[in-house]
Amino acid sequence: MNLKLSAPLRYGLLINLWLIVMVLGTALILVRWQYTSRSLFVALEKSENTGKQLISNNASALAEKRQLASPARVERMAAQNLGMKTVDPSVTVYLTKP
Amino acid sequence: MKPKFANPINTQRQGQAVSFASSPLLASKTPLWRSKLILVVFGAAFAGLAARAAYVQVIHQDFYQRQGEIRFARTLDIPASRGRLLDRNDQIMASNVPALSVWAIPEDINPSLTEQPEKLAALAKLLGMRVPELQQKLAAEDRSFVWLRRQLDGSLNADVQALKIDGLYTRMESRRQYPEGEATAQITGLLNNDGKGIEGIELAFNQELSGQNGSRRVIKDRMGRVVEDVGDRVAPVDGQDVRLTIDSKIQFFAYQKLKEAVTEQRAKGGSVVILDVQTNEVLAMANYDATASKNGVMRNRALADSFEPGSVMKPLTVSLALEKGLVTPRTTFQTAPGYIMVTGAKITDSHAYGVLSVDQIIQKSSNVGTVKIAQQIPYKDMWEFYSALGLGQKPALPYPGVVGGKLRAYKSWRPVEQATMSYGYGLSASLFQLAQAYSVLANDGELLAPRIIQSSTPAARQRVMSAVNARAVRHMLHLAAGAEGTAPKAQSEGYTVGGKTGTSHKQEGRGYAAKKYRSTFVGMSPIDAPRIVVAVSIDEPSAGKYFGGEVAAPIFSQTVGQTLRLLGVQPDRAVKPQIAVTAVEEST
Repeated sequence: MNLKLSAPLRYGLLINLWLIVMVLGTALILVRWQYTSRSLFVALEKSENTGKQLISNNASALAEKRQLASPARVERMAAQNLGMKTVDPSVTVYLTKP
Repeated sequence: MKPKFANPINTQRQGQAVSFASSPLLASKTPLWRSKLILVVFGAAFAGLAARAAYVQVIHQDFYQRQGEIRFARTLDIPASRGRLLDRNDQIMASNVPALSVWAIPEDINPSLTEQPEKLAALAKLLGMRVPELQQKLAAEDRSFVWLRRQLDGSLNADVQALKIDGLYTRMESRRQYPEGEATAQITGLLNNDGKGIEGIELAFNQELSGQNGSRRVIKDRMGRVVEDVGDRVAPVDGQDVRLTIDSKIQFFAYQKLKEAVTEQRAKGGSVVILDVQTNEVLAMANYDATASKNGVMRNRALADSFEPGSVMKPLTVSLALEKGLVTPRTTFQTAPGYIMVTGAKITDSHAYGVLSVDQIIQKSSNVGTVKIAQQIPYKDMWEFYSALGLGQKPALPYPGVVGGKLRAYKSWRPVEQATMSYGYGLSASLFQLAQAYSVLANDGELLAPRIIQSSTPAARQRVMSAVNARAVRHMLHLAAGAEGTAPKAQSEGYTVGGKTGTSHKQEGRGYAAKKYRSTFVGMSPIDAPRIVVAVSIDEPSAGKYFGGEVAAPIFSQTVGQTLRLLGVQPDRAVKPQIAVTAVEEST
């Protein structure tokens, strides 16, 4: 094909083409980057919330553990279920350091 | 002549094929101005875009950013976690746990519940309410918001959500849990619904426990989800843990024995204070109020209630007389005929004891003997000594509602007032103040600053009396808790004890109630080298017994034995062992 374009026109078209490609390319990259950024942010938020939840659960478990091991409960169960009584010096062997 | 532009149709018609690339149309010469125009238009378009971008992103960046933020940016609070309350062994006394709060929009929820009454019953059950109660809360149609229940167990969230009721919403919060329950309730205090301390240590250390909330600026999307952080995030500063000097095991035991005694004696309430003599740390401060469930009052009686202490003041009066060199333990006083007149007022003993030594005055708890000793002491010296023991002044404890009792200035005293003060009437003190005053006797004459919060710095010491005199008074206390004294029931298996009973009439109006008493016992153990001071007070015992030696001393006895055992103190008194030992031959 004998399509002869003048030099300025040819260069102008090439520059415009290059700019269009660049604009579209950067736009796509920007969209992709934004998507990735938000995905990562949401994942981070989830992780942080999970972390908070685990800390909260841990505190809850510790409090529950303490409640289950509270002197009042232990004493009641020892006396009622096992028939135990509070120790006193008469049933305690005191050892002296050699 | 061949035409310059052949008609392709004609050409086809003529059966001659012409390729597109060689089309003469394309070979035509385009005018230069057209290509320049396109170049200029595209160039201008790009320049326009660049200018607009610069305008938006550089020149008016602030404006557009602000407008965007107004529409999508929000500032969120990041709540700080409230610190825990721990006992001296790092056992949890108060901690935050997840809690569920349920709210509703009445105008939205009512139609759906009307259609599905079974859901209403299920919701009421989950919320721990009766159906009519729930219906009453939802009755206010004009209200757009109503809390149905707050501070529920966090694990109920899934069950509430599973009901899928329109207009019903949940919110996760945190609530305070007190694993030790009622045994420590008056010490720890409590929080209101907004998480602020309103009683006890929770109130006194609210600032330290609360920490500082943080904040973050975020972008939310249309659905209200956080999609981006903008600006700086201010991290929350979590509240500090507060370590108390309380031993939760000792606290529980003291509370248990106190509760049993108050119930048995049909009393209004009572308190027990246990101090570690070596550090003056509060090991336990148990309070039981038999009327608390009726009136909802939850106060720390040991610190907030002051009363006329009665005979527990006698050893303190004698301590001053010894310190001033006015008497020795062997000095004798005639207490017959069992009463003494002071400016027209008659002060009596329960028996006519005759001649008693100072030791015996404490042992028998003679009012007459104590008054005769006190009459030798100048008012000023007596006031200064009582003040040095902490009477009439608020104890230096970081606790809300602490009272200092009443000790009037000595310049206004009259002889009868000095006389009654010597055996515990005409002045008032809290049970904690009495325990603190007795800690001076236990600590060989030194007063240590009391503590309820753990600290690594040693407590400030102040000498109030000599060690020799403190030991002499301890011997008197030992006699008072012996077989010949007023409180043989204070004796503890395995440990030597010493202490003084107090049985005081309660004030009512301008006088004293005839049959309302406060029974008190303050003592220490082991008596030669005290490790603990225990003070017990029972308010209005009404089951027949009311003497301190009958009502308060047994609690002292049980508490001392258990506390010293938990502290690992070996018995200093011979005990008949009841351990059956079976010898097993060691296999070779």
